[in-house]
Amino acid sequence: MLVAPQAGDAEKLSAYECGFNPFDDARSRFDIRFYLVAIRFILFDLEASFRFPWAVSMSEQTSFGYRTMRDFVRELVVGYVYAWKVGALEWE
Amino acid sequence: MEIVLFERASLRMRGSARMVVRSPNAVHSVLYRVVVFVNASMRRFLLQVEFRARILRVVYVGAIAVLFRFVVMMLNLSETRTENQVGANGLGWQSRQSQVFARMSVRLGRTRVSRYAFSSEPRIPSTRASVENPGNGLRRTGTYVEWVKIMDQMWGITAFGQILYTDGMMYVVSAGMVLLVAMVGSIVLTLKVRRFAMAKRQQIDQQRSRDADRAVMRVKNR
Repeated sequence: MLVAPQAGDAEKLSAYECGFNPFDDARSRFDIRFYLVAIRFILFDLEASFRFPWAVSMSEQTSFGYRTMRDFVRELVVGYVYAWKVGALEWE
Repeated sequence: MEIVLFERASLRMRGSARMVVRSPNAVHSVLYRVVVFVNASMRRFLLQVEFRARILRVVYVGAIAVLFRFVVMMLNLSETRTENQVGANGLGWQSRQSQVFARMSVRLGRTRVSRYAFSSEPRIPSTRASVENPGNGLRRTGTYVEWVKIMDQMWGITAFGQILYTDGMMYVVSAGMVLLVAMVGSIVLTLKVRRFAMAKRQQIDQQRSRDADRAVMRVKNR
């Protein structure tokens, strides 16, 4: 696919719709709330991945490492509570 | 074996990075970007930094590529540009340039990787690391940590966790602050409609506890 010669024109590159010209684009715009959900997913994804090395090396850490993780989680809980109160978690 | 895999990942990464730029379709270039990320994490696996490789896969491929895709879909790019003009004029110097880049990437991979990462000799000569012999007239303070020996004894993720939550406490907490700002900011920017819309909402408890005996009543017919 990288090497083969490609001669694309407007007919080849447009979406195929059973013989007639396509009425509209195949991709359509969507609500921004999907984006919001994706951002929230990234945030908690990052939080979970920060927990992995902490959990693995807990036996070598002092209580200082525990408190670091506790503060980190607290900061995210503040954001979570805010999102809950404002109503960003509801889809309506 | 490792160096073959490393160079193959490097070349695949470079080729798909080129396709990110050259692809006329923005969604396709996001997908090529995913290939770039996967190969970058494969290179990190081969350099034995497993945690960074996994995080790169989880965060970039799983999350940020999805976000890029959303951005592309929100941009509403409707026109698809044909590549006839590029094929007639620009492909000559671009393919030459890509050949040069390919050779450069192979050469860089060969020197850096074979000399340091995959050879049995230590990465830094020990004469340079010792306190008694600083080497090159440079005065070094403190002791030099020989990461190669440490990395053989423990997992990379364990070594990472031992210093991240004590020595790098400020980084972790400030990363948490950045995440908090990101969350609050995304909510503030996008969720302005709901607060003013006084729409009639569903009330699930009342609706489900509604009884037919009380809801349906007989009306006297006059």
